[in-house]
Parts: sequence; C-alpha cells; structure tokens
Amino acid sequence: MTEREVEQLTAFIDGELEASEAEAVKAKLAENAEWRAMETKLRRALKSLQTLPGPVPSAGLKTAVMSRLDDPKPSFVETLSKFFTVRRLVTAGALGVAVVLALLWNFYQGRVPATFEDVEQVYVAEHFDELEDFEVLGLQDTADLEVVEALHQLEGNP
Amino acid sequence: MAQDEDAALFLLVKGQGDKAAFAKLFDKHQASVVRFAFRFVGSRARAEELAQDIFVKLYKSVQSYQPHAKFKTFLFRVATNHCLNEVRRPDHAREETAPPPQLEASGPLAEQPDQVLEGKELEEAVSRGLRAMSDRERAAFSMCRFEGLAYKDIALALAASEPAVKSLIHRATQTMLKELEAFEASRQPEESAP
Repeated sequence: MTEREVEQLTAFIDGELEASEAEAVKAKLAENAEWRAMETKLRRALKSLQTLPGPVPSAGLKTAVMSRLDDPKPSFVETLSKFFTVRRLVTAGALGVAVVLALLWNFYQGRVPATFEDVEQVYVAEHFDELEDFEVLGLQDTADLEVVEALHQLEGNP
Repeated sequence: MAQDEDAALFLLVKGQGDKAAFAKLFDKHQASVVRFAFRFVGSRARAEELAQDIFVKLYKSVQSYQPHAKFKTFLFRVATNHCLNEVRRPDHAREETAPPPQLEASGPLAEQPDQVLEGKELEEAVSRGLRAMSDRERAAFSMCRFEGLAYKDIALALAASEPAVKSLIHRATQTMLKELEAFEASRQPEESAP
C-alpha cells in the first residue's frame, strides 16, 4: 500500500472521509487482502490505546487553579524580563559580534564592492607607466600619442 | 452536559466573571487536560503544573473567546499552545531524560497483577511512540486518539488545515503502530511459553 492509501484508510477508520471517499475505501477493503490486513492492524492498535489508564488529577489541582484566577497579569517589564533570559541574551550577543566581525573581515579583505572613485584609481595604477610617460613628454599634438605608444619600442631600439 | 452548555458557561465567565461557572467547566475538563499534558510531556507532575497554567490562561483569555467557537476547541487551542511552548523551553530536554512515568492503574487494567504489568509495559511502549513523534504530530495524535477530537477541531486548535492534520495523524499513527507491533512481538515468547 502507498502512504496515501494508508492515510486514506486511517481517516476512514476515524470516520473523517467524505461519503464518496469512504465508498472507495470500502470497495478496496472488499477486494484487497492487504488493505484488510492493514485495517485489522490499525483497529487493534487503536483499541489497545483505549485500555490505557490516564493520570488522575490530584485533589489539590482545583484549589490551586481557583486560587490563581485573581493573580494580576504580569507587567510589561516582567514579560520582557521573562523573554530576555541570560541564555537568549548571550546567544543574541554572540550572533551580533559574529556579524560585526564578518563585516569587518569582508571590508579588510577588499570584498566590499568598488566605488566609482576606486575604479579610477585602479585604472591609474594599471596604466601608471604610460601616464608617467605622457607627463614627462607633455602632449603638444596627436602625434605625441603615437610617440608615447611606441616609446618602449623606441627605448628598446635606439 | 452538551457542548453548547460548555459555551454558555464560558460566556457567563466572559460576561460576568462567574467563577462558579468556571469551576463547573474545570470539573468537567480537568481530567482531559491533565491527560493531554501528560501525553505531551511524559511526566505526571509536570502535567499537573501545565494543567494548572492552562486553566489559568483559559480564564485570563476569556475575552478573546468568540461565542460561535466550540468551547472544547478553544480549550485545546490554549492547551496545545502552552504545551508546545513548554517543550520548546531550553530546560525541557533535561527533564525529558527522567525515568518513564509511573501511573496509578485506575483503569480496567488494575484488576490482575499480570494485567497491571502488561498495562505498565504498554504504557511505556506508548510513551516511546509519543516521544518518537514531532511536537505537532504528538499534539494532533493525542487530541485525536485520547480526547476524541475531530480533525476539523484539531485543525482549529493547531491553526492548521484539515489536510495537514490528516497527514499529521497518519504519520503519528504509523509511528505508534511500529512501537505497538514491537511491544506485541516482545510479548509473544512469554505468551507462548508453557
């Protein structure tokens, strides 16, 4: 039997199925021995639960309850102090410290996304030699751009 | 006492703070609440404390009771919430390691010593089955199997849908079935002995 079928059978035994669903289960029980065996097992188990003696409430329970009915409701501060136990505060504090440490770690590892200014600085760093050459030569006209571009070749082949 | 009479009594509590009406409701439902709490936490002493808290909470939350709701459903909603909160307490796990509960054999199993022993072993098997369930499965199972609540009332008490309750009860019943089959199997050699 599938899980779904056993679920249907359990609900059937509990009298919780719609009429049409109950009819379908009855038909299965009439034609299928596996269904009947499961029904017997379930009914037997459920019957054994009914034989269990429950705990008997003590004689003092009623007195205890009735004497507490006029207890004032706990104040807001009492409710808060009940909620914020030492264990919860320690856990929350530890989590807070962990979050701050993680943020600091990310910041110092350079995992913080680069800003626009950072991008410009990175470009300067990458092309530092070329930009230095421009500064040394000074740009008079467009031909100077070609000179700078070929400067390393010119330096290599005097 | 019919279900609507329970609601009428509780409305007296709501309207006039009628403690005599509340006492009548307590008398009628105390065994049910203690049994439910006991099945939930597995300790008789703790179940009594929980039942005490549940009835006090019930009294204090009377203003949120809607006349169209069944009293027993409202009561079990309060009881379920309280028991679920109890088992989520950090120190509950330590208490759970206590030895299995000892019950007074006040039911039909009290008549013969061997029946008392069998009843005690069955009780232990049922306790194991209950402990093997999730909290919500245990709540749904206890309300259904020990208190006779319908799926729709359990759904209201658990704030869940009926199909969800059907599934919870199915899974819990299968868990209990396994424990009870193991219990039966362990008893067979004794029963077949001369």
